[in-house]
Amino acid sequence: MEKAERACKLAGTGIIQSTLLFILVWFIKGLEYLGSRWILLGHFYGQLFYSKMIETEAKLAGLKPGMKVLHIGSGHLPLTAFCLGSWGYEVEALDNDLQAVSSGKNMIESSGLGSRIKIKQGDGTEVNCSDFDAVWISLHVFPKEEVLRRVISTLKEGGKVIYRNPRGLLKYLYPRMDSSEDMGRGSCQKMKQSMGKETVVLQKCPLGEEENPLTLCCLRKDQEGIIHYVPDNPLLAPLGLRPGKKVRVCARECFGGPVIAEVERRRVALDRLLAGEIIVKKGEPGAL
Amino acid sequence: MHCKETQPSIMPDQSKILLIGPPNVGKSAFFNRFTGMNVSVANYSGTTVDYTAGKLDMGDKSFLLIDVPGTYTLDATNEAERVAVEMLRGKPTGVICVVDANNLESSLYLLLQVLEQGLPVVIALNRFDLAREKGYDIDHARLAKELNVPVIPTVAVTGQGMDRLKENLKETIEKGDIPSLDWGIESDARWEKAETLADRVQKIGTSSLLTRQKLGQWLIQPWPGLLMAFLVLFLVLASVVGIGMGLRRFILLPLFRGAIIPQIIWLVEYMLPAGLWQNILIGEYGFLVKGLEWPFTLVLPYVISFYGALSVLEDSGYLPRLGALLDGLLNRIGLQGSSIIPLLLGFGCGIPGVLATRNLSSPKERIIVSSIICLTVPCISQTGAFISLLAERSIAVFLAVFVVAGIALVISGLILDRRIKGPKLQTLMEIPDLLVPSKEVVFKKVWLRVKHFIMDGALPMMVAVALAALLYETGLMAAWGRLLSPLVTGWLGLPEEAAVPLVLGILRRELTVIPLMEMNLSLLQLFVGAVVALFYVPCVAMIAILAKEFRLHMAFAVLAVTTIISFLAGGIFFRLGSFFLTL
Repeated sequence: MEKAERACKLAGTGIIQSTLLFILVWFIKGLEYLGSRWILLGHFYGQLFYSKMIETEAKLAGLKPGMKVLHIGSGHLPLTAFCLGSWGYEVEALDNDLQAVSSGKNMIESSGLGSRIKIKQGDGTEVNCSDFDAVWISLHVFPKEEVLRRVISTLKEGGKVIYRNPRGLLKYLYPRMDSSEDMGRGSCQKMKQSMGKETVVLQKCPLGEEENPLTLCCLRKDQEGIIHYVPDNPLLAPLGLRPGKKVRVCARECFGGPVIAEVERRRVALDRLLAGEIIVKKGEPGAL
Repeated sequence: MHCKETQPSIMPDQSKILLIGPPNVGKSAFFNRFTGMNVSVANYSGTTVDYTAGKLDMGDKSFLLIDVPGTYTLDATNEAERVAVEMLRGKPTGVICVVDANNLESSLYLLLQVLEQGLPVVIALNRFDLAREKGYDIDHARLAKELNVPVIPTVAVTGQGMDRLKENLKETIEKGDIPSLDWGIESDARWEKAETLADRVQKIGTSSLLTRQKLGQWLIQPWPGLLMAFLVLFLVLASVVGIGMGLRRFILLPLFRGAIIPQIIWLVEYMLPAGLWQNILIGEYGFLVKGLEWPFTLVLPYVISFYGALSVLEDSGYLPRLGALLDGLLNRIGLQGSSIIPLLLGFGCGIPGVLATRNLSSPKERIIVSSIICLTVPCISQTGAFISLLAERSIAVFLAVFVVAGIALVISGLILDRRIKGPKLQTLMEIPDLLVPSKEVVFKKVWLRVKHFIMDGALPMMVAVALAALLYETGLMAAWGRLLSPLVTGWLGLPEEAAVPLVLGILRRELTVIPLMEMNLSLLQLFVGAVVALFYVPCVAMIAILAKEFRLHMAFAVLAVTTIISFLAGGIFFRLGSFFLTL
């Protein structure tokens, strides 16, 4: 976790906001410190606030056990790293606070996950993510936008970035990052979480910077595009959704329902999450 | 599913011919044409959930024709594909590969995989009429030349091209021609080949959209699609109730009460002296009276009207549209849009509903949909009984029972979604073209369902009524009523004799409702009786199918949960109702 004083300086727009944020971060930090000392309290805290959220995030990002994951801003109680490690991921966690790194290490070693989770001291703005399949950035990380830019620029193509935005009351304390779609150069999926958080999953798409990729989910009704990349799903190709094909969105259903796509006069209903993984480009099929 | 099914493995010696193709391409229509049998067909993917076999005569030889479930590829990524791959490995004599003229490229990919098996193959280029209508001009002779395999354009629903297909199949099998391959067998190489072939043989012209294509696109938009969905469902309900009531009041009731039953009574009275045996045949629960009247005048009219409406919905291709429109809402109770098909089938009969869950993408969803069907979806026989019991006394009470069923459906979905572990898969389904249902097919389907109801519904019902007559006349029923009286009278507020339908209901679901009609109940008692019947155990046939499709403990769990919920809900509604009535 980054220093709270630095947090206030960068995020705050007023004295009250800075003070509130300072108190909140100090409180959470304290709670997590206690959690790292009394392991049972730590597990209870994790079950209550983190386990379900991280599970849905990993699912949304399409990650599988065995993948290499980096967590930036792991804090005194590295619960994100702990959950992912216990599900079989290979995790490296990073924090610039030496004290947090040492209590984090204690917690991981006493849980017997030391072989899968490595905790290191380091700064998010100087990190090299080229070895990782996915990178988690904590809500409390500052300066978040700078860290995110660094992560995306060093991440391999197809890699995922998962970060949390504040919503509800929390958005008056933490800065939101909504311009992330440009930064992601690829697909962007969002999901509401409990306790005033929202998860954002970015995928760095395998395209040059001059191009402007979209996902099928981002296309408006009646907008057309050329499919550039489809995820690994055995049904997509036989239903006509293959790279190089022209696709049109015929309808977007209500209540978060599917996107209806038309390829070669054939209509297919696709879940929005799945449509969010299909990368499309504007232009004619011959251009690819 | 309601025809004779022969297991191919039982007849290993007979030469087999496989019918393979993508889903919703019309394989079952070919099967019905060739074998004269009747397997269910509809305009959506996955109508055939298990393979079906029938006899195909060609000249002096006869073969076993096997209708393989539809599969997009042979990559064995799901159950249907694994079945298809296994059958191809079983060394069949020949294969009819049905290629969809509307989606040539992806059908060709499957075809290439089939040709790689080294078996004699003929190609049926089906739905040729629809492709032409869309402006596709396919040079089938060129396709045949490119692949060196006979290609016959067909329209299976009208029978066009069937004779030529049969002749070619016979010739190919006799010659034992095995196609030669000139493409790589990796997925990418195959797609490349399919694409090149499609480009060479298919010309895409421009065609203006037909009215029904425009309607099809219109119906899938959230607006006005959702409003139309509401209207369609309302129309279906209204026509099931309206047409059913009409059939009952003006045709079946006069026929049975006016003509058939008096003749039977006269005959029995003439042949048997008054006493126990005469009472069993024509007394209070006389099985020649109630055993005919209940199935044929109470249930049959609604079986006819429901399956008429369902067949129109099935063949028009509207159901997948309804599924897509409601997908977002269904997701909230752990279901996907595609669950709408088994649920609607469940309103007809739970058994095809549970079988249709085989098409659902995850085991979790299968369990949720099957449990919902068992607990909260009344079958048409029971709905028919509800209409007769309640709608004729009070429409409000009838609707209230369905509101209770709807609320229970949502609550059970929410609970099951949270309790049952398992991955939630993403919706991915094809939306077929909207078609005008053929009158011939709809009539045939309704006729099949009626036949099925008479054999599998009416006969067991007559047996159950005979059992009831025996119990009633021997006084055992009264003893049973006294035994259950604390539960039935004390807790549910129903008369003692209402214990009888609880026994009969295990045999047939509607029998939990029909006997209540004869008991002069108050409106509250009718409502309580109907709620108990709604949640009460599914019939024995359903329990057997649950044990077969899932595990024995699932069947027992359903039995226990339905019994507990039905009595609990019935008692609570009785108390609530009595409380409000005294206000």
